[in-house]
Amino acid sequence: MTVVTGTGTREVGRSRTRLDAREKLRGEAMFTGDMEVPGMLYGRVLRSQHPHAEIVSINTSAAERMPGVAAVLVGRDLLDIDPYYGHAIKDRPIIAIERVRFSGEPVAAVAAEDEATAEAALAAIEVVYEELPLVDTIDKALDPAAPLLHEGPIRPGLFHGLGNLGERDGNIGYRYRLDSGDVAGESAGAAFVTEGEYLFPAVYQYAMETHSVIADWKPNEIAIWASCQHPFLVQAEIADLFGLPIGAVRIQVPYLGGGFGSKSYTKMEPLTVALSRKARAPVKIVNRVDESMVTSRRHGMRCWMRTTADADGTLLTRESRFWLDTGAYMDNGPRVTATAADSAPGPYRWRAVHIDAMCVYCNTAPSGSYRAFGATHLQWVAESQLDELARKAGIDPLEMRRRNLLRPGEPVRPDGSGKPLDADLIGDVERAAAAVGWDEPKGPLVGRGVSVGLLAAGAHPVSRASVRMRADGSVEVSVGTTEMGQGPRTVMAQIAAEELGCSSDRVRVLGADTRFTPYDRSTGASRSTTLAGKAVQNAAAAVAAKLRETACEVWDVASELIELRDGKAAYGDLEMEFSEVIAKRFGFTGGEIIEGGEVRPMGGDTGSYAEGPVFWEVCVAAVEVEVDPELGKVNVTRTATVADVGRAINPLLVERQDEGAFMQGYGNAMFEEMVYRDGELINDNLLEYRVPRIQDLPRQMTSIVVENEDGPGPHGAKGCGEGALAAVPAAIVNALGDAGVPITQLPLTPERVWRRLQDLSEPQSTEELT
Amino acid sequence: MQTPASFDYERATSVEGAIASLARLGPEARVIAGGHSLLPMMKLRLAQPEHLIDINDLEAELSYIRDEGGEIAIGALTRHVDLLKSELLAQHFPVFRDAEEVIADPVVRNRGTIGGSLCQADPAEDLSAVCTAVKAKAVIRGTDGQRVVPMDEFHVAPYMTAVNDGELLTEIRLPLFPGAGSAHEKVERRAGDWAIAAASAAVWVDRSTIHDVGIGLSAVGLTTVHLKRAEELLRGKPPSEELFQQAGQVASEDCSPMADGRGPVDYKRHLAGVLTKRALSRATARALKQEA
Repeated sequence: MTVVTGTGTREVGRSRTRLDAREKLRGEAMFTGDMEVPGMLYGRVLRSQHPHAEIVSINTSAAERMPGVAAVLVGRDLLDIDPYYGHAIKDRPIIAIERVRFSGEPVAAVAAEDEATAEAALAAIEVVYEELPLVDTIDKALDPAAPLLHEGPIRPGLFHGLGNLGERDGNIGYRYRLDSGDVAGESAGAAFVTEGEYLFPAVYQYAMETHSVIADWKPNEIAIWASCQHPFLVQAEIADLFGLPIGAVRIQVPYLGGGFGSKSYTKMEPLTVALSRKARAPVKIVNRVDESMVTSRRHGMRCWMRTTADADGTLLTRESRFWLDTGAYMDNGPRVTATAADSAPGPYRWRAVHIDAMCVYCNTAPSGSYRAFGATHLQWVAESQLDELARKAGIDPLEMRRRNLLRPGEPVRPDGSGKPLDADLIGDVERAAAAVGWDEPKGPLVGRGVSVGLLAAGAHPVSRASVRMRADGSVEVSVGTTEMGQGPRTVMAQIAAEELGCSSDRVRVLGADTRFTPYDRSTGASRSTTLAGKAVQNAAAAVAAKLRETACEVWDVASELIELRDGKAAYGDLEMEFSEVIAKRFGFTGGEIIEGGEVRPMGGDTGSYAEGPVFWEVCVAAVEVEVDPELGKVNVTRTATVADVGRAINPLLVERQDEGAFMQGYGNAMFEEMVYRDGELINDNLLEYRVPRIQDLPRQMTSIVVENEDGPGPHGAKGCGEGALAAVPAAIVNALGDAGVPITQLPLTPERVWRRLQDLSEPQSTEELT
Repeated sequence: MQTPASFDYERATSVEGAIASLARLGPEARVIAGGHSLLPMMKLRLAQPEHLIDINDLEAELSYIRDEGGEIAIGALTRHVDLLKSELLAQHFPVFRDAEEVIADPVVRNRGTIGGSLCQADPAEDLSAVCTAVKAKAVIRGTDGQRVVPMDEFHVAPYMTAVNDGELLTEIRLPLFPGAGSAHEKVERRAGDWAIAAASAAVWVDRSTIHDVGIGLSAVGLTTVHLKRAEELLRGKPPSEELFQQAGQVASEDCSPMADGRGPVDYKRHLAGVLTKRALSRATARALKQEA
């Protein structure tokens, strides 16, 4: 797709080749699983096969006696610390204590001299369980007679970011409401009403690298190498758990083989540290795929929604109640719930809105973040109701959106709080629709759909970075952003190089090491380019100022006359290499310039990171489908997604991010579903749980990069890489609706579509709800 | 488990040697070629052979697709990718290319073999249906010489074939008759997956009449389903969409699907009918050189 490249910049706006490409293609890049530290043991985890049971006894003596076994960890080894963690709610023990709440929960862990010995030792551990009543679905969990998965007062975690967590209500662990206007009154005279129940399945993020950790516990310092997206948050949680100052926990993060939210917040780190503590030696744990599938996933959801409009298609009211299955422990459930609720109204003008979002404990594996969380759950429901109203009112769905979409500067939240709209949504959706041939004639089995939404992006805007220029003029950027395939090392190098007036080739960007790397809140919420990038820009600008300062001393001219270009300081015809500038500054062929940059919130002190938000990420897509009614197969023929990024620092990487998000949205909509039977995940392997393959891709995929320079990041940039995921399921469902097959459950498997067609062809069908 | 139990490994240097080893080692020995089914089963400990006999060095003897006059002969070690690319097969039996385009992915197709697919005898496997449709014969060699077995006798039970201990499948033979057309139709959950259901059909048309026909179905029975009653219905009649519709109806009735992770019984039955109809229709268009 045509990319508008910015002018007046030399590094920013260029599709630089990824700085990590060569290393990764040659297999030289190091991941946690590749690493070894001296004296390292291998850990394996015994996981419960029961989804809900009391642990009557654990006998580890046979395993402990096995040659090569260094330690066996169980719940009773943690009596000397407060072993509960959770960045949102401290509800999760490091390892099961007296009770298991999901199938796959760690019950014991073995450290041994090799993996085979550790594995064999697991088989020698005897656990006696007494099964408890199973609460494996949202419906069972909401039953007033259901056993409670958690009792006692809620213990807030260190980073819930929600202001007020509220009280637990039965198995509802968190609840978030949006209320504005009088829904009953405003909808009383509505000309069109649509109402329905929707189901979204639990899905898996599927990072190719599974969760991997090496931990080395010592009385006064803990060293960790981990595949974690948010090293500074993990550092603080580990320090809190094991009673050390934050600085005494050192986390190093090499490359990640994908994250997508599955490695956000704390995952396998506490267990690995606890096992190292027991073994008194460094321990490595690398999950198998089936283990990672019960470590993190996306919430399944049940949703009810009702939307009304007046005779000319002007939207009146929206109500929704929905329940997210967070599994046995909250993980990031509260934030996902709040973000889903924020996405429920969609970017439209309403007279009244009532949203009631609930996060529910079940005897299933914990759910956390997954790219575009919350928005992915709600946008397809919200947008399919918009299309249904458009069909009833006889209005083209694109026109329906033109009439109702918010315009830049209008408040996004129904109550007027937070950041107003900072994007041109009508322009975005029109471009997407045009790219799939919106106005072209089409056959009876072809449908087209669009979808528009917003995602509260940025998380807490707290980022620091440092930029260091060495005596030879080479540059290192130290920033906490995790490189997990999305390209920040390249982008940060470009941002720094732009300020310094040099090529990004001379800039190295290092992985996080919490001992040296300045603080960055997290890598997620599309925040890195915008926030960490801003911190890098500020730090690089400070280094540039020092270079100018020295150059003006040397040449005795005003600093604004000094230009930094091509790795040199220049004044008219006079030029000095950066290395010369540094030599002049220190009067010595050594020294360095090192400066920091900072980004912090301006205003806002409720503690909720969404109150801004930093920016609204645009979630816009258009899709064309073709249905084979005999087979129930849906072929997605043309797609367009919009990366509305303000300014593309690296246009190629923006497109790749947008395409990646498309792929996952397409997988969530069409193929993916974690299948549980009596609380057990039965498709916990990549043969049975399959993500889309290259042959599944649509015939035509368009990624539209929009650059309105309206973002808060460097050069007007704002984040990307999530929007398409939230937008694509909605657009596919709407295209299918346009082809005559409205559907309210994902994924759109051939069998489900075929059954829906059977239902629709039955004369007694009572589909029309108005 | 992600690691297989321990086993002995032997790399065969001749077909004769491989058969001798199989005869000597008996039921605890397994042949490995592509290994794309066997190795995962070993890792999951669903299979625990004590001896593996690797036949990958026997390409000179066992990897070929050749016209032997009246028959096409395919060596058992012929890889999926070679079946996909063979112009000889595409000319006589385009059903192979149809099937190979939807079998797994290039990585699997580069290593997996026709012999391995047939001997694995997974009821959801595509090539068994293809071979059933085109009336293929399997050549099985043992220490006492070779025997030729039609496909109906080749599959004896789920994951069980007519190949006995001490024997090796060496060749597949496809008889050539004039007026042939063939096609494979499959519905899977996503590209490269095992079939929810699949149908292979071959027709031999003589003066606007279906002289002979073969239909095999995947994933709708304990083994590959051979639709003999539908074949009877079609034989000797002029081809028509109505007739194919009837044959599809028979297919829905005569298959015996079981629910699996890929689909329930009623949907599989429905697909068996639709796919049989479509495969017959396309096979006939090809036989009459009328393919759109």
